[in-house]
Amino acid sequence: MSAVLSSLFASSRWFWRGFKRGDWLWLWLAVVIASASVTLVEQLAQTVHKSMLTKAAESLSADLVLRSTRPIDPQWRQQAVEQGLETSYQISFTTMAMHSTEQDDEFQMVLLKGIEANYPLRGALSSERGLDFNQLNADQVLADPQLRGLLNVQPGQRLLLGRGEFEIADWLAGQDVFQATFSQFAPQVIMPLSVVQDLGLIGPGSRVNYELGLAGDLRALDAFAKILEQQNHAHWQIQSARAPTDDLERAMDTAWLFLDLSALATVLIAGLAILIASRFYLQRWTASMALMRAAGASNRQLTGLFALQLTYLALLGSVIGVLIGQGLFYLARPILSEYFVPLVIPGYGSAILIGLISGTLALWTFAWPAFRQATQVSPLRVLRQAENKTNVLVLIGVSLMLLIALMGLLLSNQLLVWAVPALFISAGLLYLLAKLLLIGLQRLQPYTQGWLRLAIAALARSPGLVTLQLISLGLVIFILVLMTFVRQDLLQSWQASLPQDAPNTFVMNIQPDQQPEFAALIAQFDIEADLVPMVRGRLIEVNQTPIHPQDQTENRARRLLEREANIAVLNQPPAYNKLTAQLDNALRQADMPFVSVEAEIAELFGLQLGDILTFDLIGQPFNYQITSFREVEWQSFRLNFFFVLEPQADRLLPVTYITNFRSDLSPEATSQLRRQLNQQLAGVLWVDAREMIAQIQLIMNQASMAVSILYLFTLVSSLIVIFTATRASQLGRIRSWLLLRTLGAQQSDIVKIGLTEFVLIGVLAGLFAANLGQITSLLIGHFWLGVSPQLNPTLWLVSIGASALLLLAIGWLTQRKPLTQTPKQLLQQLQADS
Amino acid sequence: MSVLQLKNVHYRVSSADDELAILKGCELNVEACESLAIVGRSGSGKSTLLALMAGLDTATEGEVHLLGENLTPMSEDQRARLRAKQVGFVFQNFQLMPGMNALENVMMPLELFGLPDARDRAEKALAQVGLSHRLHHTPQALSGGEQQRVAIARAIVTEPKILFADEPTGNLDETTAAQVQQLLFDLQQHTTLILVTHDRQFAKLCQRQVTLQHGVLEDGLV
Ligand SMILES: Nc1ncnc2c1ncn2[C@@H]1O[C@H](COP(=O)(O)OP(=O)(O)O)[C@@H](O)[C@H]1O
Ligand SMILES: [Mg+2]
Repeated sequence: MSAVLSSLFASSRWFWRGFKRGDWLWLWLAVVIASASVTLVEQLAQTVHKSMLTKAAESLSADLVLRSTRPIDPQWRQQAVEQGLETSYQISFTTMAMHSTEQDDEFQMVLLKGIEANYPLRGALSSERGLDFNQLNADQVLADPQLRGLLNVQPGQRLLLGRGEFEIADWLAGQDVFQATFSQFAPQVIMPLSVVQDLGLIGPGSRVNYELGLAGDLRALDAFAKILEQQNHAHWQIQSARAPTDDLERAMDTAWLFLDLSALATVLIAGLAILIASRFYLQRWTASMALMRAAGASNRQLTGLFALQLTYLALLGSVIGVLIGQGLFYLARPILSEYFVPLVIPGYGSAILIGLISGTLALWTFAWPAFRQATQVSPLRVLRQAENKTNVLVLIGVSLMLLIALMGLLLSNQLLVWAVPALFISAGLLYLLAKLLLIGLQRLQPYTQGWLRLAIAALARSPGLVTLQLISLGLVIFILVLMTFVRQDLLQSWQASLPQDAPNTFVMNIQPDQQPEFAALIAQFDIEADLVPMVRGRLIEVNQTPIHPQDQTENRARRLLEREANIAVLNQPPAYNKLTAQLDNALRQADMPFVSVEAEIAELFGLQLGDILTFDLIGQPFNYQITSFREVEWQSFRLNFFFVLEPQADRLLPVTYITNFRSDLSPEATSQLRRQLNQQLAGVLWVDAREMIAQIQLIMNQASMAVSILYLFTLVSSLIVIFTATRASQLGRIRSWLLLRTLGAQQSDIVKIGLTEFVLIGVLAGLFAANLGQITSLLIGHFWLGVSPQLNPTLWLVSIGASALLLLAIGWLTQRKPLTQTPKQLLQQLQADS
Repeated sequence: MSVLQLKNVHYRVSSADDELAILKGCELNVEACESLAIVGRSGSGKSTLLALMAGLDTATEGEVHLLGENLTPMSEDQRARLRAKQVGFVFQNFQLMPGMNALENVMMPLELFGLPDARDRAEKALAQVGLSHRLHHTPQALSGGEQQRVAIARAIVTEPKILFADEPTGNLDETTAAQVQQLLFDLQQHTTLILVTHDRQFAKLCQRQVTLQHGVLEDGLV
């Protein structure tokens, strides 16, 4: 007991003294960086995630929605209530609203929505003047403010809907622009469910959406969702706030990936700093340990003492790191809350915990080899240079296990499966590569002269250390180069996907005979647009085999089969889609029209060129042969389709026209145009995406800022690693410079030799990084993008040049003093440090 | 009373293909408070012998009795415990803890075992070696002689029964060496001192001398 206590006291005292002296500085900094970055990224990711989920639930008005084209059997609601879930039932359909003025009757298609008193289960229904929906009179409704422009109505004025006449009590407020999807383009009018049912608007042929909204405990929801899915009703569609739209899911996945990877990159970089710094301390640690063992400390006691000190270091480093991480998050909060409304912070506990653990784990993972070697030292070392007998397996094995634990903490399972083997294989390759570079350098030496020769000799003297430096510097430079390219790429593709002149207005449901009139109308407003003919339909058979939604494992596939999709009818696929594969003409079936399929969908359903697809196009089956696959940029705001069908004279498809264009009209002009459209062209739908695009642009700007900040963070930690790496070989360098000076070298020679050593390391590390970068880009190109391998000379030039310059600068900055010292000063420094 | 006894001590090291015998049957008996010098040429095995006597290493054959206990069958931890209580060391290259100042270096063995009054005792020991004015200087700021005096203070601060010194003046100039030698003998009054050196003048200051030659100990200066 007293031994334990005295260890505790001694270790804390020694640690604190050493800490104040700056003994632990580099290790400590590395731990701080590791835990700060993990805390920040973790807190950011959780907050964004939670905010988006909340947002998604508010958009859905519930956590889970069962949507059906037929009335939903009340037993389901009953069951949900029994499971302890909140429920709310609503129906919606599009119908014509009429507004009578003295001169004229105006008509507008609206989405009429009947709701219950507890709607919405998530979020709130608010109006501009803050009216309470449940306090309204029976003849009062809330309406989308878009109607203001479309019908020239004001609150207090009346609307005719079916058999009923209603007063617009107020405009809806806080409408979600992202909700304006194509299924819900018409302005909403909201009234109580009981009132809607009395309007006489719902007949046998009307297309009504019935919705059961559910909210409550996550597990109960999941269980209930499973029951619903098992029913396999084709007319049912289950939508969860946790799996919002496909596009959003994909966009977010990429963002999570970048976050995960950047956290991992920073931790690994910090880890390398720890590895190098601990090697730098190893000499010191073994000397102290040997001395204490000679003084009578047992191996156990010393191990405990040392472990305690490292633990204090880990704690002190990660606590400060967590504080910095949370501080940065605090600074970022105002910016976040601008983009995420509502901003929901899911508590700080778990990010703090993960930050603490990963700082501690990073220290142990990378300091373990040095720790182990130091604690295994023989007391005989005080008398002579006895070699250490450490088990390499224990040395590396423990580090690897800790590393896997660390990665498990930071990466999702899915990524982990890839990352761990990749890491190990590349570690092995890196080692080989470093060895090869070093051997190459030694081979080169006989052909060199003067200070270059001496500099190479200096490097060749400590191959172990140089290998370590090469690997870590090379890795750091590689990660930097990679992140530079990825960041550029990401920003570019974001920018490209939303060009300044992206279309911002969609018009659909234009009947064939309305075409000329529509063209004439928009021409008056100086707008030109191509009309694309389309039908609504569903894929029902592949090669004469029926394909059912319930057989699909992927959500995406199921949803696509359940819903009617927009299918273009064109003589050839749009020019802005890139064709990825084309059917050989010889394989074309005669008198079978073609279909061109979007590439990802083709993959999803395992479609091949030449397959025959059967579509249900408004109740009738039609066959088409696949002749091409297309790549589609969904974020591009152009008109994109999963399927493009060849028009056939004998197939009388119920075609309507859709178009999109960029409109820079003023709000007044837009209202005027839309009103004219309403009066002249019944049934045509106008979707204004301007606000949505503005918001997306805002989010992208913010995302690019986040990416840049993370990039900067990595950059700073990399510089610290490089500094540590150069510190690690300080002693050896001073020793050799001293020797050279005593042998009569001039001071200017020493400067040349010293700096050449740095530049050499820089060139080698750059070469190393370029190799890695080239291999990575070849692999990505081959497996991911499917392009043929290409050598990238810029990559080589940039990484070698940058790394040589960087090391030259660092060499000059850190070595200026020893390089210009007299032999006596060098000797003193040497004695002091060894 | 005998504090140290060697009985037919052998030490062999085996390399890849052959075995090298360094000690070939050393016999020795040291009485309490005696001062003994072991001399011999460089490479004769003096440090090896010292390591065996102090319990830092174990003999290949034979017995080493330190303060009445047979070291040979002991585990490293048991020997460590014995060292902690009874043994002090002074080394040729001082072996101060890097980074720690003089006072901290001397306090180290006391703090390591949680002994009371570490600071007072360390200050006293440093006063004994005449370094009261340099308590807070780190090794870098001290001369060689001063560093060795700190090491001596550290060796005596635990009041060991027996003090081992391996060429304690080997790295010092003549004048400084003489001062350190004097200091060692001044402090040795109540302790056994076992000194390893190749400096015969230094050896003569001890009460008794033995010579290590060809792996065995012979009385006197050969
Ligand atoms: N573990 C060992 N392995 C190989 N040789 C050793 C070992 N220990 C000592 N020696 C050798 O034994 C001889 C005696 O060494 P040492 O005791 O240090 O001599 P001294 O201190 O008298 O100069 C030296 O030649 C040394 O190289
Ligand atoms: Mg020796």
